[in-house]
Amino acid sequence: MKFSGSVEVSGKTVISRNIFSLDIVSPQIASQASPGQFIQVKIPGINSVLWPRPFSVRKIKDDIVTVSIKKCGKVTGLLYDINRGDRLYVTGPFGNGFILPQMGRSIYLVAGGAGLPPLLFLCESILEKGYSPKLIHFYSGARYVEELFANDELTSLGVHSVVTTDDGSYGIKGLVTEPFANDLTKVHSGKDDLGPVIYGCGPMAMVKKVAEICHGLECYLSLEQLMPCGWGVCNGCAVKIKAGDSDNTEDEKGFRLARVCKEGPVFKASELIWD
Amino acid sequence: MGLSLQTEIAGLKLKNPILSASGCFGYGEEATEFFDINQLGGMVTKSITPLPRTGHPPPKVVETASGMLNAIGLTNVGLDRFIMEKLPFLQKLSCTVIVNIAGSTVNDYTMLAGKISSLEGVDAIEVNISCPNVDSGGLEFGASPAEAAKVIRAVKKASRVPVIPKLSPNVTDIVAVAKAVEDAGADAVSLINTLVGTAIDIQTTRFKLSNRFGGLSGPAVKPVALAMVYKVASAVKIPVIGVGGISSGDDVVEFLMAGAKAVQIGTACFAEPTVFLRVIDELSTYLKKNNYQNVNDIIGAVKDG
Ligand SMILES: Cc1cc2nc3c(=O)[nH]c(=O)nc-3n(C[C@H](O)[C@H](O)[C@H](O)COP(=O)(O)OP(=O)(O)OC[C@H]3O[C@@H](n4cnc5c(N)ncnc54)[C@H](O)[C@@H]3O)c2cc1C
Ligand SMILES: Cc1cc2nc3c(=O)[nH]c(=O)nc-3n(C[C@H](O)[C@H](O)[C@H](O)COP(=O)(O)O)c2cc1C
Ligand code: FES
Repeated sequence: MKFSGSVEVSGKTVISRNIFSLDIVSPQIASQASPGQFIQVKIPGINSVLWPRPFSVRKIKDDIVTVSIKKCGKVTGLLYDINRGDRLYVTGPFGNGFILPQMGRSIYLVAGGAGLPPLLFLCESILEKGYSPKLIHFYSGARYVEELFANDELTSLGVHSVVTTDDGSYGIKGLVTEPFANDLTKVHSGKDDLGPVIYGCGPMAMVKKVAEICHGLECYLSLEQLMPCGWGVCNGCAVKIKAGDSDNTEDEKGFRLARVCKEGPVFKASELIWD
Repeated sequence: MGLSLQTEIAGLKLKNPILSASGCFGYGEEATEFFDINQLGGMVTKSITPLPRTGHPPPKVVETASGMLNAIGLTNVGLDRFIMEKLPFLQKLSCTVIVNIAGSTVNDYTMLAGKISSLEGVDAIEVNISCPNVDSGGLEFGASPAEAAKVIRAVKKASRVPVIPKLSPNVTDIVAVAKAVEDAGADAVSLINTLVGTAIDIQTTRFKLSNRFGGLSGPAVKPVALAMVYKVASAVKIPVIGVGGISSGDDVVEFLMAGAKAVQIGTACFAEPTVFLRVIDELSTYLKKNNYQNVNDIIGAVKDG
């Protein structure tokens, strides 16, 4: 069963002026959630804001679920002032999550902004399963240094990691997809039997770029959409994806609707349609 | 004596007056991941059209003050897949199952009503008349009493189960539409569907919805829905189902006092999938606290202030 109810905030970590993490106590979510899944969070008593907000699961430890949040609007601004002991209304976990890679293949993780928390969770999970850190390449981008979700955590994993900021305030100046694209061409020319597996998560423009770079390769992308419900009933998050032969619809043939909250948020790059 | 929440709509016995609203509850299956939906008085499916529809492109939802706009565009699986993929689940339910239908012509509606009402497990049909009428230049069926009556008369002939028109609030006189569909044979009415609205992104100078306009729902519409329910319930003899902005037991009590015999909850379940159970609880608490033994005792109980 999915969880729906009030939870206690058991911890808060401020990472920068804009980034913070909240730990919430939910055995039910903790026992189910996998990398790439998300929870919906609502602040009790704030009635003018209707929708819950989606946040990827960053980490699970015993009964504690951690989310990392970038302050960027109404609810995330209010969440920044939430403290240990406060309560939140939470539902989840939702979404399909990432398919874990086969052992031994080289992995490329490409994160933009709030795409980092789920990919860090994925990375830690596969390392825990014995995956060699040498095979993992982690690219993480933010607009500027205060919007970096993690840095120490990334370097301590022992994987190849590259950090970019748009303004050069930390790491390489530029877009995260640039060093990734450069490195990938090198791998391409190597002899990697099954080829690399690429995971991308971040704003639409970024994951679209990753899809272009990875044309023909095995690539999974996690999409961001507005999510009024998160549990598949409103259709507000639905996007068109390539359809099988049997899914003709009245509006347009050859397309199928997929709810990002239910059939996603992770899709194969090859099934996505970019308008 | 124990408390009774039972109510009756068009011969259908509901174990309590709380139903899910169309378009906000899928075809029921998703909610089973949270609770046993047989605890509901009943559920209403997403509008079914003759053929599947993908609906409008994103952005199709916008959050507004205490509400939201949606221009989903009647995304649904269409009649055939509804019967093949969704009906078997609905047939296993013990709560009342109402199937909502929508079309672009009177023929669409009668075909849907004929087929769906003969399926086992379908207890009633709710008719979404807030749809453009292709035969008369795209005006909503529900916008005119005469057109609304025409559809409902035809649906009533085709249907073997009770017919519940769902009224649009985007009209000059909702009471006239309600009376017209009552005369056409409607067994009950539900109201309100969403209110037409829009929102503009002032940075990009674009409409926030790809469809320009959307339907407003949520707490923002509750006072409007409540007034319309009161007016309609005072004017017709058939039962009224109240919909619009309900998110608490107190909201339900208001709608019942205004004359609704049952209510539907839509938008509020997005953030809180189990809102129905909380609302049933809060309704019971209100009734007990105020020494009512039967929920029917408060229906239409409102007096002038
Ligand atoms: C599956 C999924 C997982 C996510 N995981 C995380 C996470 O782990 N950490 C994190 O910080 N953020 C995450 N996000 C983004 C986060 O949900 C939004 O930043 C948040 O909803 C903004 O709420 P707000 O009220 O502060 O912003 P608002 O005041 O509503 O809007 C402010 C700005 O944020 C943008 N925004 C609003 N909603 C979303 C959304 N659903 N997705 C993307 N941008 C949005 C708006 O376009 C606007 O520019 C995730 C989004 C999705 C869809
Ligand atoms: C996302 C969304 C989709 C909806 N789809 C339908 C629909 O397919 N058919 C219909 O008759 N009403 C539909 N409605 C209207 C609701 O059933 C209800 O009448 C309206 O939202 C007001 O109730 P609420 O404020 O409790 O949501 C939809 C509403 C929303 C928010
Ligand atoms: S957010 Fe409602 S269906 Fe996906």
